[in-house]
Amino acid sequence: MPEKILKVDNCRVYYFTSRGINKALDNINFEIYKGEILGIAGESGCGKSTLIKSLYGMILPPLKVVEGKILLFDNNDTIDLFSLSDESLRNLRWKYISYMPQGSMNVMNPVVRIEEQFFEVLDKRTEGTKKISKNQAREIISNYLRDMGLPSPSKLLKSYPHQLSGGMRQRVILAMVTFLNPKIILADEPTTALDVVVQKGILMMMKKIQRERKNTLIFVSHDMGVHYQMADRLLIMYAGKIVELGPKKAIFENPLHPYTKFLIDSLPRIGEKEKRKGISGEPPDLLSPPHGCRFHPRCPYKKKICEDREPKFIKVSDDHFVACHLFSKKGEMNYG
Amino acid sequence: MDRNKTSLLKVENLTKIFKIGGLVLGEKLTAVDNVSFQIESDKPVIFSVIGESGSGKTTLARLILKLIEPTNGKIFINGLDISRVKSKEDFLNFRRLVQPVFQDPYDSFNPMKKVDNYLLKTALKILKVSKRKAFSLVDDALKSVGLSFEKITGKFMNQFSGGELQRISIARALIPKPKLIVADEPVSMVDASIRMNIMNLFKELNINFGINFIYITHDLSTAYYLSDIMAIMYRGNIVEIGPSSLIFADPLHPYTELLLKSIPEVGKEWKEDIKLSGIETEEYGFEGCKFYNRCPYADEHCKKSRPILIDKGDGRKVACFKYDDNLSRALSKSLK
Ligand SMILES: Nc1ncnc2c1ncn2[C@@H]1O[C@H](COP(=O)(O)OP(=O)(O)OP(=O)(O)O)[C@@H](O)[C@H]1O
Ligand SMILES: Nc1ncnc2c1ncn2[C@@H]1O[C@H](COP(=O)(O)OP(=O)(O)OP(=O)(O)O)[C@@H](O)[C@H]1O
Ligand code: SF4
Ligand SMILES: [Mg+2]
Ligand SMILES: [Mg+2]
Repeated sequence: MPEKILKVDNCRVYYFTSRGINKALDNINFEIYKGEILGIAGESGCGKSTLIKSLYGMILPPLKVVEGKILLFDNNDTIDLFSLSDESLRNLRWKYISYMPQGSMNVMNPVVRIEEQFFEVLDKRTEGTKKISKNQAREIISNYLRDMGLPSPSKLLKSYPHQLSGGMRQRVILAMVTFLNPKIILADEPTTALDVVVQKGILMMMKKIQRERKNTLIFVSHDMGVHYQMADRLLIMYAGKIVELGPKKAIFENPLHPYTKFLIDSLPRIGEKEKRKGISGEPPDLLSPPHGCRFHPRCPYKKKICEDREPKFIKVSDDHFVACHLFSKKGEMNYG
Repeated sequence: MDRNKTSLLKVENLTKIFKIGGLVLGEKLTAVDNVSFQIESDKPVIFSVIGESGSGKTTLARLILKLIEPTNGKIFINGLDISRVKSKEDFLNFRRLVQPVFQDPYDSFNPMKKVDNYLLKTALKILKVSKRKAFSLVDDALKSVGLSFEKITGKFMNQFSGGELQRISIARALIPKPKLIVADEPVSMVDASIRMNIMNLFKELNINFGINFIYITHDLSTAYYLSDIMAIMYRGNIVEIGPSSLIFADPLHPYTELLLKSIPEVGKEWKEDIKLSGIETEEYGFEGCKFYNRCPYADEHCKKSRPILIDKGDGRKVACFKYDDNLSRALSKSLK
């Protein structure tokens, strides 16, 4: 059994908006293993970013934890993330767990030089130890940037974020996020706005760091090709729920949930020109999600029970979980 | 070639220079650099433009849509020199011919106005038809994207899902039955399920209504699925152009080669490492081939002179000295 580093225990995390309650994470249960790359995929608006924010303990209004816990396991300690004070949470960040938000290329402070933004991160490391000079700090950072394959570090440190291309900014952020060697790295769509060449460069850099240092990497992408390159396991979400979780190979070769099947089959592949169909119907409104299985209005296999009862998230085989009425505990299935 | 045959699109020595930074100390950036090409076809085409982020794709689209004016060069659409579109009247006629679909559907609508009214006004303004006729045109356009006037009546922008809005903005572009739709990353915001529906809609509109498309994207697999012809841009230049099937099967330009090797494909795991550029902004100003410092085939010559697009005889053109004979080598030198 792989060692677990994090456990999401029966979490409900909702947005309380003026239009109603958005059940962005509803009854979420799963574990993350130490040293794995966990890929997260799913429909836009299904709660992927909300899950990542929750894992970072970043619960800001109108988001609220309605129920459940997120537990972190560090050696023999167990940390209950939602019960931490702001101060302890701050101490955890960058050093133990770090986060690249969605669209992070645009969230860097545009009027602060890269070097200042790095100094802040470095400061967290030196807490308790003796202060170092700016020049020493610069040297440490430059060396790190050089190790990460970034060009002309001293020039880079002097620039402002807006002077860099999207790809270069994303490489700098990745360097920042990994600088203090955190155990867990959260990355929300780290390459979505980039072209494939730059994307490949950044993904390979991420994977290299992760393989060398054995951190745990959790990352969101809507590109199944990216997940194929990166992930050890995949978690598929739909409308605020986890619908499937399993090893990458199993998900790609034997997807169980009808939505996962669709995700994998639908996208065109190079070299094949025959017509591919999209999925019919509209994504659900999380203010009033469908009864029963939330996928049932769009599911080609739906049965009567799917409209009435919510499917449980069950283990079908070794490490492969699904929430769909087509599957029973023993993993027998019936697509009839 | 038949001299009287008018091309759908003909671009001659098109250049767009942006000033960046202050007026005095500011630098210049050539976002579109002396680009010439034409699209000729007996049947309606879908033309994709692919390239690195920042390679000038959106700038090219905005020039073709006449949203910005070129620094130099000419654009002909259906034989019409668009620099001669000057009066309000001309511009309305031009909009009947060419329509945009923008990347972010939220940009296309005014949040304070009801969407149905906005569409009706568009029809009335551009087409100068009676109210009744406008209504039926809008309804037709909405029906071709799987909606109808009834379904959108009385609603504001924020009362639609992202996918609905994306379809409405395509419907809006369809109202005048244009000859050409310029779509800049029209599916980057939507998830897999809606993406394929929109791709299939473009195909149908192309075949059934004879609408031509310029499809700008980062996503090579949808470009392959959709397009007949494609152009690859690099730092403001078109480096390769021709039938998509040929380019995907056997890329000529070293950058195209790199691009295709970087697609994250399911079933093909990445092995080799990749070199990203460290001097992006300088590359725009290179005197020779802008790709030479990353190109595995580059020699001294590539550094000194700029390759021009040469005809390969199979419908393709490529700008690379690898495919150049001595004659065009001499030619490109004497051009300077
Ligand atoms: N600050 C907020 N206030 C209210 N509702 C929100 C807020 N942020 C997100 N939501 C809603 O919560 C749901 C989940 O959003 P989330 O950002 O987690 O989706 P996502 O899966 O990351 O989508 P995407 O792929 O588009 O990034 C959506 O319905 C969204 O509209
Ligand atoms: N209005 C402007 N003023 C100054 N520079 C600009 C302007 N618009 C674009 N640029 C610059 O011109 C270059 C080309 O930009 P453009 O938006 O055309 O690229 P693109 O190929 O569409 O990129 P992406 O794939 O990221 O959308 C970039 O370096 C960009 O920063
Ligand atoms: S539970 Fe029913 S509706 Fe939901 S995915 Fe499975 S078969 Fe389809
Ligand atoms: Mg998100
Ligand atoms: Mg663009």
